[in-house]
Amino acid sequence: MSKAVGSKIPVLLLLILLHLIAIPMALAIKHTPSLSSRGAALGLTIGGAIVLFLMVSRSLITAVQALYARGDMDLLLSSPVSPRAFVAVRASFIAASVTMEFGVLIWPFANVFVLFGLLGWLRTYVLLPALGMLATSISLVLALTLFHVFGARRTRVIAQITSALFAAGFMILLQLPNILRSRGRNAAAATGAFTAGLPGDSAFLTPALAVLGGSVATLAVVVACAAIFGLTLRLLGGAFIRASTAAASISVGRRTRNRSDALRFHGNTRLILILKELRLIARDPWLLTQLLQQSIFLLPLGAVLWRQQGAGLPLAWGAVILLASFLASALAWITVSAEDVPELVAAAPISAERIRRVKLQAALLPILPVILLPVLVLWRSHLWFGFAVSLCALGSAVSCGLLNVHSDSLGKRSDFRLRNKGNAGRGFIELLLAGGWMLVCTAMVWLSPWR
Amino acid sequence: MTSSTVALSVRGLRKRFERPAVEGIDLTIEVGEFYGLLGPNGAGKTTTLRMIAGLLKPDLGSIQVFGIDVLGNPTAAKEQIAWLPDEPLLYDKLTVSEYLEFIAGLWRMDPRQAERNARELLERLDLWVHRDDRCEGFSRGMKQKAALAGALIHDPKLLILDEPLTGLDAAIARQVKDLLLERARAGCTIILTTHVLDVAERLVDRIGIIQSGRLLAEGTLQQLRAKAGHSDSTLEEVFLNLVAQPRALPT
Repeated sequence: MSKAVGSKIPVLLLLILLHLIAIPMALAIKHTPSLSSRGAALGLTIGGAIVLFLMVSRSLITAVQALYARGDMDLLLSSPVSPRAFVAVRASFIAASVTMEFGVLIWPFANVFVLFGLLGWLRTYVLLPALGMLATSISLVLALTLFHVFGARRTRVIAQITSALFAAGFMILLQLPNILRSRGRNAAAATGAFTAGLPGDSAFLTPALAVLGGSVATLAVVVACAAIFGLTLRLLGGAFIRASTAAASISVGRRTRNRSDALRFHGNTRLILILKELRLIARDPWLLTQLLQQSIFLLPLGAVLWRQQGAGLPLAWGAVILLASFLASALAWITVSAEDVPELVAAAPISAERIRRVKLQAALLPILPVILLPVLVLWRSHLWFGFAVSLCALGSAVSCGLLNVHSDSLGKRSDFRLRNKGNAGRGFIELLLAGGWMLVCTAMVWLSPWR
Repeated sequence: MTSSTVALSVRGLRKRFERPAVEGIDLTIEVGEFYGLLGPNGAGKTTTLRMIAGLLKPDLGSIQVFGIDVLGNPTAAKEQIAWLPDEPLLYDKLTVSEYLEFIAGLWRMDPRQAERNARELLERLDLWVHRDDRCEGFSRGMKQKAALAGALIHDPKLLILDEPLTGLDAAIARQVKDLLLERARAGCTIILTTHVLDVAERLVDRIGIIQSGRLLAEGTLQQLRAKAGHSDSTLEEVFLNLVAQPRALPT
């Protein structure tokens, strides 16, 4: 089987799985009394807003990357092609890719719902690209504003944080009814209270009501989004080129500390290897914000679990095990697979196994505070529980780290977000390992004589 | 030639990727010798050097560095070797002094000796004022000098250089050449590849010409001239003459 075909199989399997999941949902919707137009409009508005904000979160990163990408830029700008056309192509690519990312998750449901007679879902095929264009327009404005305010050197990092906040904020909002319910109110009441607070027939629901009203209104929404996209490109195309040129000319050199007259070298090989890994991680703000961004996705889970009790204790502590697994796996990948100069390390008179061991230690060191958090916080009130969570977080971190340390795949730090691309199996095993350690933790707590 | 005077001994070295890259190369380089390996692009020079440095396993053949079998005891062999490819092996986010400390750690050097060597090299290569600067802001030439300092800090007995002068301006190239000659005079064995034939002509003691994975000819410039039948030619003329008719010439 060719590599190209092999890499598409997980996507095909995901599409099949989503279609299958959609069938019982379609049946359930068919047998549920129809919502009022206001209720349907509210659902569509909230759903659309969530998708839009997640799209902005994704496309902001791509827009900023496009701003800093050198690649073929010199060639394109020196060619007789208009710079605005070049920006338009890049922006269209961003809009198309963000649309496809969400389309893969939403269109399988739309397909099945349409087959079950819910024809209104056909509109997602035009609404999603429209949202993609709108999100790209917002991202371009945001990217250029950040560049203007924070300058070329800091924009990438600030954009990462902004993107993470967009995603995390809306993931938490998505869980709002569950969080409210866990405070003793049922979901319906909670959602009712939420809707009651919204303006009646105000402009807030107008686009959704229009879309639900018919195809012409849907088309009008699509045309409006396309017009915003076109207008953004027309107004900001020149600014994008200027910012991109400025980004290319920044000097990246940094002085790390004050000059001293003497050199002070450490004599311990292990310490030197660990220091090198920690320095490389700590001095890469782009990488750190990527880590932060991906860790933030655990917040909604923590928020949901916070009020759930197990043996009289919040289950949210389980998120510490997940976080430790994720961080260990990510840092082990960074230290081993994303080694900047593998040839230098390979040419050194030190065994590959020893290098791997030290790299794993370097990957685990920054996670120690996360691992020790439960036992430190709970040592007075629930020492055994805190110990169990910390121990399982350590076990989970070590096992996920080992999995990555012995992986043969090589990559670049800049590919961090795509590290599991083409290696879905590893991601799945990491999840299984984290889940397994959570079960061990549960067993330790339930079977403990000190419970 | 006794085994104690041999720095590098390569016998029947073969490596094949999608097509044969190295086809039965034999090399013997003496201690303190400056040896130039020349050849057209794709001739197998870099593959040969990477196998000597222990970065690539040969399909067949043996490599001994100062009597140590590189394949059987790679760690001991690598203690003696420094490898410097055309793309500097640097960490952009480390300062030059941190980089040198890292290399000294990999080669398990005594920290005092490493500090002395680092200072000497940094001053010699005009990098002392940049010792606390991260490599990411360096020019190509400065990066190459920092990488050379890294290669030399642990006093290697065999220095393997693949196109060390690529992309360097005249002043920096001069600094690098002077330092290499100084090391060779001090007894370091050096093997380098280069496309700049003038450099090879002025620097090296002996030259090996390689094409299609085979050693076509080997010797001093005078010996190569004699083989090519042009007693007063430049190395460039000799080289072009030899690679133009590989099969006709004896090795």
